[in-house]
Amino acid sequence: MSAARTYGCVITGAGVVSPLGRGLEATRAALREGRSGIAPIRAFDTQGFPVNCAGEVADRELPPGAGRPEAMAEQALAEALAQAGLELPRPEAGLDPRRAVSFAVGKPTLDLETLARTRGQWAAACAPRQLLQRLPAVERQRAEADPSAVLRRLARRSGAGGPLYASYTACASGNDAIGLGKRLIERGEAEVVIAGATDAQVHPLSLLEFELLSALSHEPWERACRPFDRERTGFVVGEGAAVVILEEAGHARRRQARALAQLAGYGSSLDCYGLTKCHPQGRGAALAIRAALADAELEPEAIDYLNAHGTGTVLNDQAEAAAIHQVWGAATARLPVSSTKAMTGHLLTAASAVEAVITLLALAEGMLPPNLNYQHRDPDCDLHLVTRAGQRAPLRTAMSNGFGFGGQNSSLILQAAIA
Amino acid sequence: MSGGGQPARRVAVTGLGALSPGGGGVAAYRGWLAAGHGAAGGTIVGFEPGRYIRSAKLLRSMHRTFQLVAAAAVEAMRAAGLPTAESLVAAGIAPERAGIAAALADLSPLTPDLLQALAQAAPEGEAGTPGWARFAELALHQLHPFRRLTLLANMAAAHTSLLYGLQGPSFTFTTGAAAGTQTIAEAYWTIAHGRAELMLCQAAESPDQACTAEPVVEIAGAVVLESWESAAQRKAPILTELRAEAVAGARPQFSLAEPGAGSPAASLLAALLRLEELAAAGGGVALGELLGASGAAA
Repeated sequence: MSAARTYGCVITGAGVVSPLGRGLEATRAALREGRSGIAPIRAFDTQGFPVNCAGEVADRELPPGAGRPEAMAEQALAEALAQAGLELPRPEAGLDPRRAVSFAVGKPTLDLETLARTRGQWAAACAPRQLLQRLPAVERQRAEADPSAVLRRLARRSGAGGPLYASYTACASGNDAIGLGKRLIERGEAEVVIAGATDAQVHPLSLLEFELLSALSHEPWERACRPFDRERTGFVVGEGAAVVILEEAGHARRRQARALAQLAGYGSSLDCYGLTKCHPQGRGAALAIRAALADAELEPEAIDYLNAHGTGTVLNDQAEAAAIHQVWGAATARLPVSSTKAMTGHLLTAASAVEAVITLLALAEGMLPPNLNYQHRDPDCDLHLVTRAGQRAPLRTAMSNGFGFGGQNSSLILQAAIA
Repeated sequence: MSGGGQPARRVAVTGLGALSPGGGGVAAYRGWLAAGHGAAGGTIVGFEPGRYIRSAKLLRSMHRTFQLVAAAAVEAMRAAGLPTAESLVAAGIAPERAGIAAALADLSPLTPDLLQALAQAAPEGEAGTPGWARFAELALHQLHPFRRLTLLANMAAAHTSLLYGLQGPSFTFTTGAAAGTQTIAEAYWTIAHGRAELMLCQAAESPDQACTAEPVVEIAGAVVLESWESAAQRKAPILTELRAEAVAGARPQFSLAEPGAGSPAASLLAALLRLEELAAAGGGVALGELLGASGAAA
């Protein structure tokens, strides 16, 4: 084939597990009602801990620990495959070589309890490898949770025998995994791509690591995360998973699958500014937004809604607002923007995958997801924010941003499917 | 800008870089492998990261794995005739048109400072869960403030971007043994479809990071891919042309690979060695042939 030949990419299925609930219907209802999933932490005793709230998934079926991200991904995968009407290949046919997986799995959390319990075995060890030789149980847990191992199991569960891509770009991971899936379809390497991300970091060590970076909000849980608000103080950690079924448009048409939306654009960039802070004028963010627009062959004015990365930290929100102003100019005043992290918390590796599904729901419902907890206008974040739940608007095209530590930026553009 | 409807662009290989226990350079790695040292593992003795990364501040915050990635990247960029950020600009390569495709394994979170905090929070002889309040108090005083960042796989791309001012597309693959070759495939298509002029593929592995008790070879590799147009215009040393073999009507199957628990860096280096061998024969190198040779089925 010619390397230039491209194939249209549509979304035919989606599944989500997040603090807003399990499944698309629960998520849709929470978005419509403006119901937050942030609450006091249940996973461990936070007495004396610097933070006490998070966006947890309230599902007793889910295991704690290193297996939790995969269990959430399996739930989202099952929902997405069912919605797409994709059956697993018959066992005698083997895995489908035209079905691929592009997925991001968050860093496995450490089993601190086991480590503490077995202190006598490792107290004298000084290097990780020596330690692992003494702690086969911990090594086994981590090997099980390795992204490539999780990916192989997800592939088997979805009948995928084609290319398998695990990627990790911090908090931009979800967008990049979905965007790479789009590329696989465009260049003809797959007809179906199972794409998404999962992460579960409501864990004592993870929260402390973010606390060390001064990134977390210490406000009361009811309004702890306030993206773009002048009084914002940081983010709230959340957990969840999302899967989208990407499909070559012709393949979807031939099997009479309903296209929920077209994945029209994807762009990624590097800030090249610093390791801990994003570029204050949002240089990299603007590059990713422009790259996604170019990929979709759209002008900025074509975007009807923007799901912002909007973590609720002072610098990130300011930089993203600056990037939006750079790209949209005077039209910024007319672009509805919201960060749904005020409701979900920051799902880290899974954040932009879940937000891509939220954006998909917004398009399908003609609904603007709210930017909860917004009270005080910040002149440095002068955006047309969606501050009330339940607002409706005819949406044709929407963008979702995902930006990560290390200056990784990526943006996706979804367009409503033409019936 | 996008690939839609535009003719594919030609892609050149303009730089290779490698570091191994055999020393610096691709030939040293080849010789070290030929001598049969590969299976036993080994570290790079006398590695001086300051030769590659001038900023002492930057070096202090870099995991050894990322230092090795950056060193291999510098070797490859020097070979491509692009030793500095300024040289890219002088060559007419805009920062936003130059990106990175990295391959990394997960970095071990079992650092000495964490273990110390945990040991103090869970006194010997006491069973059960440590007190989180005590652990929090200790951890907040003893852990490196950038701990979270120093262990993220995508920091390899962040560090290299700072060295060369790269602001273009960025990918970090964690697909085990397949990840190394996936960097080359994705970088190839990124350039072929006009989304970048230059892509730096990079991978490294060091025993410090290993989440395995198996012997680990400390290695790093990097490959510079560039649009033919850009390479020709700046009279770059073109090693070979990388091509997607075009069979009319057929769809490519380049990145079918077993995402096993192997080393991303070893797979990138295997592809790099193969690339050099195929290039010597002349006539360009087919992407499928290259990836098939290094663990990915063509």
